Amino acid sequence: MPHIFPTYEWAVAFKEEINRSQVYAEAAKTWEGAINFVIDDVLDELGHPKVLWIDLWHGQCREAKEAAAAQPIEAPYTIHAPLANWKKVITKKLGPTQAMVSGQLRVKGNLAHILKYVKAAQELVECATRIETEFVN
Amino acid sequence: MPIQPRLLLKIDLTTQQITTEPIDPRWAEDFIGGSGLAARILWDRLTPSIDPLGPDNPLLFMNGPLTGLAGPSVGRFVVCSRSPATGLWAESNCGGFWGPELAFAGYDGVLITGRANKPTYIWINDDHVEVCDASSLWGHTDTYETQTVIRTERHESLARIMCIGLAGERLIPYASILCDHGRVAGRTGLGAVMGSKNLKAVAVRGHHKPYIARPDQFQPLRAAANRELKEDNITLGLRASGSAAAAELFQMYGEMPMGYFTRGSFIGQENISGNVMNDTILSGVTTCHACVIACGRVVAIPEGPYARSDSKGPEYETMVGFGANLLSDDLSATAHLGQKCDRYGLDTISASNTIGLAYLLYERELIKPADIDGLELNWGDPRPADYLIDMIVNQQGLGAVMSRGARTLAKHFGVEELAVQVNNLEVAYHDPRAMASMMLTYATSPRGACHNQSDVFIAEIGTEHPEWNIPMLQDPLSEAGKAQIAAQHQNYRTVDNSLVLCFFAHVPGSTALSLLNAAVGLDWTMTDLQRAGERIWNLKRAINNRFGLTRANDKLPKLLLEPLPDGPIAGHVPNFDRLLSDYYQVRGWDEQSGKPRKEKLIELGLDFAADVLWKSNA
Repeated sequence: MPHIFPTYEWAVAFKEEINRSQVYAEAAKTWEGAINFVIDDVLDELGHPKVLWIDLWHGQCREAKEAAAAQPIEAPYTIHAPLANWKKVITKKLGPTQAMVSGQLRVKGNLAHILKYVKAAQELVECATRIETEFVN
Repeated sequence: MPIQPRLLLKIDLTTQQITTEPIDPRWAEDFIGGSGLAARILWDRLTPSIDPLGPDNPLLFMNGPLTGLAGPSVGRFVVCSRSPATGLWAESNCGGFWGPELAFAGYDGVLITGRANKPTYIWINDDHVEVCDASSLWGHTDTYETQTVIRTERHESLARIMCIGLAGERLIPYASILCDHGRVAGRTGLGAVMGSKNLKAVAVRGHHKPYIARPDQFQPLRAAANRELKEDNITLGLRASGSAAAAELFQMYGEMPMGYFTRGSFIGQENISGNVMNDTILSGVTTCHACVIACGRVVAIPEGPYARSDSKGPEYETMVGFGANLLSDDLSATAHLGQKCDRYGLDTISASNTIGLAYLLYERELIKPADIDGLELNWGDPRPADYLIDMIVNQQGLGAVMSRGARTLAKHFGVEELAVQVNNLEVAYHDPRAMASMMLTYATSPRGACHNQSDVFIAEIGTEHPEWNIPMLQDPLSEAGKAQIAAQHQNYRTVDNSLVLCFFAHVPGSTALSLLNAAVGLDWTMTDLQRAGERIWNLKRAINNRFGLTRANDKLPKLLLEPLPDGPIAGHVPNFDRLLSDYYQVRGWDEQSGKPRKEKLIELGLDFAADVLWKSNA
């Protein structure tokens, strides 16, 4: 059954895929820090951009939640973009590093630190592509 | 509305004559400034018989139309001449604060000719210009000490000074020029040109406000540009981890050379990284004039053979040159060796490249310990490089050969093909086997194997520049369409080198255009800007053609045409011949001679160059 991006159900499915990935476990074994994925043009009922909060720690996803920009959950890294750009990345039409270098995914936090884990970032995308995804209209 | 006349300060060191001259406003418009305008100014002077180290070789320090204004990242100036390393067009630009100070003194450039009869330095204090005795500095002071001594002597703690070290004094063809806190015009041996003129330093202090044609337009534009730049992803990376911020990414693409371009991986490679420097020896950051990026690194090494308090840290090229290039993961060593080169005034790319070749020749048993005072050049051990740098600068033993560069060293052992250079400029640390368009960048750059005429590797990993017709690229290894991309990117960066805008400032073309128009009073479109880039690129090519450059010079060294045995690009080499043929088509260059076709030169408004290059066929 497809999960709709960006929703809590999709975030949970993402967490499960991450935790199934040995590649991610190895590539991110020293990564510490949650990431807020902000979908700039998908708004909640209060008109705030939707946020998926993904807590990544030592090669595992500890927790995944849906939040809103109005009530952000603290994270050292925030990546935000309009839905169209998220879609390009999740469907592998655009590589994650290309998306960050070109600014199609905007980063708040230490981009260089994220680039250090470029293999992990690629595997996160692989995990996302394994989820049967429909994108919110 | 006519643009503001720009002023050139002219100093003949032989006669000690000092004059000023307005720059032809048509040139200032057609060639923008920086290296573009320098190429036009020097066209008449750079005749084929000019000896790069002779008194007639002109040495031009040139600002851009934005230099000294309040951003974004417009603190740079450029140095141009004929190169003692390549015999071709020489240009090298430099950050820091010297260029802006020259603008505050009221000049757009300083043209130096002749040769002083004793060591000198030039002191520019607004309209007071003086040639001063530097005998006490020559042979004694390094590039940092020289700045301190001159500031003290002039009682001007705010004077900005660019100078040479022992390498420049000794005419080493890859001697650099350094200013401020280790900002360097490193490539093409311009430090040796200064040395050949007995010129140790140029010190400047200015008190004027640079001219802005349309200040009401310019100020909000530059404020917005600075704000936008501050939030840019690339800025964030550079600010956080310096120019080596993307080291891991480059490694993933196989773009970081290792073991003098012969390896695809080595144990410890993950330590060659701006991030690792952050976690280990980083103690601070530095910035240039009007820059929100602050890519400069300061390091402190508490103990060990390279122990030191705060001093300049290595940028990407130095970190790779004295790190991965020697299969060493010792960041402290890269900091030490880079700093040593800076003090001597030696280009770290050419120096480390030549030293890397020495390691390779040692591995292949062509260099023996007896050739190098008993040293053993084992991969992974950077310690001998310390001694080799001294040997180079002192031109002692094999150091005398190495001081001529990698090609001379390889030739000395009968293996010229092993030198990784183009037109005798050693290749920068971006492996073109991993980024097809970089093959063209190195082969056709007007100053030899250079990444600062076009850092197209950044486009290969995803930066797009729609206003320059550079789309997002998907496959760095593919040759398809890359000739067009390489040419467009060269035009784009040629404009930046004319503005003179730092490559690290990821400023959209439309922003650069608006800033230029407001600063100098133009009404250019993007088409005009693109055209100017193409015009200037072809002018530099024409200068080189007049020096004797042909298509035969557009080549890559053998090592870069052989596949690597391991790593991300193992077994892969882009088809260089195909790329070059495509490139000639795109450029409108003559396949036989390597010159821009006459009609191309005329189309670009370079009739004067067409008249000279195609005289016999006119």
